Amino acid sequence: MSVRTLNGRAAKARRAEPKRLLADEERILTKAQCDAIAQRIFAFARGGGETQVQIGSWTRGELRWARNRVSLASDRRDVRVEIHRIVPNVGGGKAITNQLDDESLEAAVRAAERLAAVSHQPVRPRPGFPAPPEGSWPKSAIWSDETYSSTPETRGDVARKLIDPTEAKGFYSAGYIEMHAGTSMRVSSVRAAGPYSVDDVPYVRWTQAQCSMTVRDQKGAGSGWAGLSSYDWKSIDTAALGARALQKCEASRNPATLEPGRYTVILEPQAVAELMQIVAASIDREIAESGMGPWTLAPDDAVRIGGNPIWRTKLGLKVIDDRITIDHDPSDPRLGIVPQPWMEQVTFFEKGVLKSLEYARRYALASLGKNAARRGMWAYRMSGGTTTVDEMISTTQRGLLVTRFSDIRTLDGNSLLSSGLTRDGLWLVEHGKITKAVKNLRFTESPLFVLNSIEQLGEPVPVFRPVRSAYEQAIPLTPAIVPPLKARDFSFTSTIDAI
Amino acid sequence: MPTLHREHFGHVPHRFACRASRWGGAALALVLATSAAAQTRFTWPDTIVDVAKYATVDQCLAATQRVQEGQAALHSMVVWRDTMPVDVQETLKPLAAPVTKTAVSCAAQFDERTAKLSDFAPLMTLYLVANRDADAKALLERRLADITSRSTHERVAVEDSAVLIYLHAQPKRLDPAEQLLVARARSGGDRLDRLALYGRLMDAARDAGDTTRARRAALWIVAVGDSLTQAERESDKYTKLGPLGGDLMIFGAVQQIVGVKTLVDSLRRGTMAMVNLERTMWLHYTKQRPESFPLPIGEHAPPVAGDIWYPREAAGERHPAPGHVSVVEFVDGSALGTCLGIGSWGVITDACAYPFSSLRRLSDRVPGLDVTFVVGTRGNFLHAKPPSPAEEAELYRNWIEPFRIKGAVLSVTTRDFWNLPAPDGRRIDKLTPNSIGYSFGKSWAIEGNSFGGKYLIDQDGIIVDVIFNEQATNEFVDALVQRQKAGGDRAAK
Repeated sequence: MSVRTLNGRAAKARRAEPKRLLADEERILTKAQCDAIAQRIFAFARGGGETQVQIGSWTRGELRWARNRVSLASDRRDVRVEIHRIVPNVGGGKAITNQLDDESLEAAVRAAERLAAVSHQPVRPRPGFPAPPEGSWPKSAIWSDETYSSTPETRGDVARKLIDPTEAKGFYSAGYIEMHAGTSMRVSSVRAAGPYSVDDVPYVRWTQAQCSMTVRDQKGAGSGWAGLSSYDWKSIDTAALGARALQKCEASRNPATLEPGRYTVILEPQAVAELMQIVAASIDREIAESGMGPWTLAPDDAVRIGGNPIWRTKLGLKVIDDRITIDHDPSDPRLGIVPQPWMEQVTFFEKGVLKSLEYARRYALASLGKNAARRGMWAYRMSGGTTTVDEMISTTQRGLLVTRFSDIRTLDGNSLLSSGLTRDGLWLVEHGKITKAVKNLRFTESPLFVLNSIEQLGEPVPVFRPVRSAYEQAIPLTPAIVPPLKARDFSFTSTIDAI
Repeated sequence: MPTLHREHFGHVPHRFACRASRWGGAALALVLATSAAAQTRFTWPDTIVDVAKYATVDQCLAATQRVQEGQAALHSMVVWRDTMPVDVQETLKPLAAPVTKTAVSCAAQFDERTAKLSDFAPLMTLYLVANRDADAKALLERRLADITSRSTHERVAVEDSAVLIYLHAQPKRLDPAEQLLVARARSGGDRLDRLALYGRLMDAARDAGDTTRARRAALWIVAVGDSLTQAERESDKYTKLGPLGGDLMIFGAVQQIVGVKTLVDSLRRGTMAMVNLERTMWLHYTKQRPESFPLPIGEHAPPVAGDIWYPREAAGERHPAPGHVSVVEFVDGSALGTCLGIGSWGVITDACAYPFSSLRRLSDRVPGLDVTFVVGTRGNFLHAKPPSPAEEAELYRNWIEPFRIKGAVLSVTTRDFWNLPAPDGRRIDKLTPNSIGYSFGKSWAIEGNSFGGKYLIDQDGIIVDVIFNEQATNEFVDALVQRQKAGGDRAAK
């Protein structure tokens, strides 16, 4: 491996070169550029061992407004090169830079090696991760030229069209538009072309877009919201979103106080997704097998071997309404997930039967004799029906129409009993018609109870679940395609004065 | 000033110097003098941390913790602790001087008479680090006096916090912790509550090597335990007392009172004499049936089976070896991946080395000690390729052999498993024959559990002790060796 040093005329000449990130026309890095950067970094390494390189590039345009005035209009881009040097019998060290010239990259490699030398923690090479099975790399198109090519002017025009009607009616609006594109790649000098480790990510590029808007009455007497996220800006009908938020605000003004209690509820898709987030976070096989969570059978059903309980799970048992099927399909672009190795289609609930729980590859090897992890309910599709929200309303004697929830907290991990608030529009439905807006209510209910009390289901649609970064899977928002639904006996426990 | 002028001149930008040459020397001098007068020499900002300037208790506590972590890191670089016996009285030693100095300096601004009571817990902790015990006590009294509610919950919560702070301090403040616990025990609560309080005190004192205090608490436990009704003994609260339940708490207290020396005296007469003493104590103080005695002492240790042995010739021998004092240890295979870095993310060397280091000390001191390590294969280690039983056995050998424990052999048994029916399909490991043999029909888990799994066996193959404590084990082993020697001497005469 050749080592390049900085001395003499060549080094001075290189120093004189201007440091630039990317040309205007190249806002993100191509695969060829990422490969070249990785190879240059590998060549700078001294002392043998392994060099892991993570290269990311992104461009993000944002527009934010409040009280009908734009407060932020940005168009940013950056690159990030993270270099991890693992030197045998010495240690490991990491350095990060966003400069792509030779001098900066070599300085970052040296910095990582200095940190490795002082770390006093010899790092054992991580075991190789077997190559992903043939064809396991989903080829979903989560790239949209429309999203990538958006400009500040585009976003300004959209915002103007959203703000003007609101202002004309004397309301305040606040909103956020974002168009985001990027690339990711993570490779190792010992596995530059595979087989990949758990840490490696072959080059991938992606786009994300979102638009959301809140409209409020100037006196604070009403509030409406609408939002949608997608990889493809074309699929977000901003005019419809704006009209919807405005309409909800107008209709929610001067709400009446309603006594808390059990009500039939019509949950719009956004509200369903927010409730289902609780279920999504609970789908864990190892937790279930430790005797905790909603997916473990009662202690009496545990098998005892040598004094140790073998907790049985509810896999294969019907646990929710048999009209509900929830699955994950990495190739469905509406979910907007970036392809990763070992992603597969998973069905979590099939006609109400629990079919799959999330587990790690470590667990798969130890307990199932398999060589792949099973992903959790991150990015999912929920089945629905054919009933429209209007039909749900027309068939309701007395109930509540819920736009969405907020501030949901789980109170009991075993039953998933949770509490949260309604917001941005809550209406009383009586004798098949919306009769009045009502003040927000706090609910105390389990989503599992709701999923077993369903009366009607509508057509599933994508909802507002923006993914902040392609690889931030731990974020609390789960991309989802869910239906509106009507459920009985939903428990509201107190009135909330906040609008 | 002249020096300053020269320095500035030396740094005048080229563009500026050219202009100066055109306008003439007088103008240049004027400009430079004005420029120099307007500037000051660069001085490094004051980057020395002055903890006395920290404004809040949290900041002070964080500062002392940073210094403490730094001291610990420094200590770990010069002292390799993993092969040294545990010094139980280490928790009673004072903190390093830099830590105390930081706390003293930072805490000086907080007066216990005027400090915010919402800062009670962190400030009390800080006072103890600064060795301001009297102020910590005064603060606690202020906090307790501030409780106006008739409910005892808040008082109990504050007292519990204070006890924890006293017990977690370095050095442990056992005196004030005991005063609080005893005062609470005497002020009310039922007998089971008192047992729980005394149990906490006994455990804390024993962990700190304060045998006098531990014995005192043990006496209280036995006294209260003796007064329990049958209904209290059968209550859910009793079974959840302490980490192991009420019976074992009382039995532990009895053992604390009797002491290892008494047991060793009994052991010198014969293993069964000591076993009978322990069984009698169990029956008398817990009032349980004889078969509920939880320890396997007095049982005949079955011969260890194995598919693969290291060294190979051990396959034809009987272990534990008749006529030898023996140790049989079931190795927790779940630690192997971590200890050898197989398919794991990190290597925890100290935790891996300590159990073997204590056995090495014992085998060095006692020639002829027969040590048998017992392993049931696991079949997988995180991300590594699943090894065959022979490969896994080799891994265990590689792990244990470097500890150079004299007289040690390794038995590896292939573990069978079954799978739960679909859709679960989970692998359920079966117990190995060794695990079944050494459980003696009791319900505790031999493998992967610190309770059970290490047995001290006498020359006749009778289990003397389940090893928990290196010091007690040493005394038991010495007694067994002396007994054998005395028997040999008598036979020779």
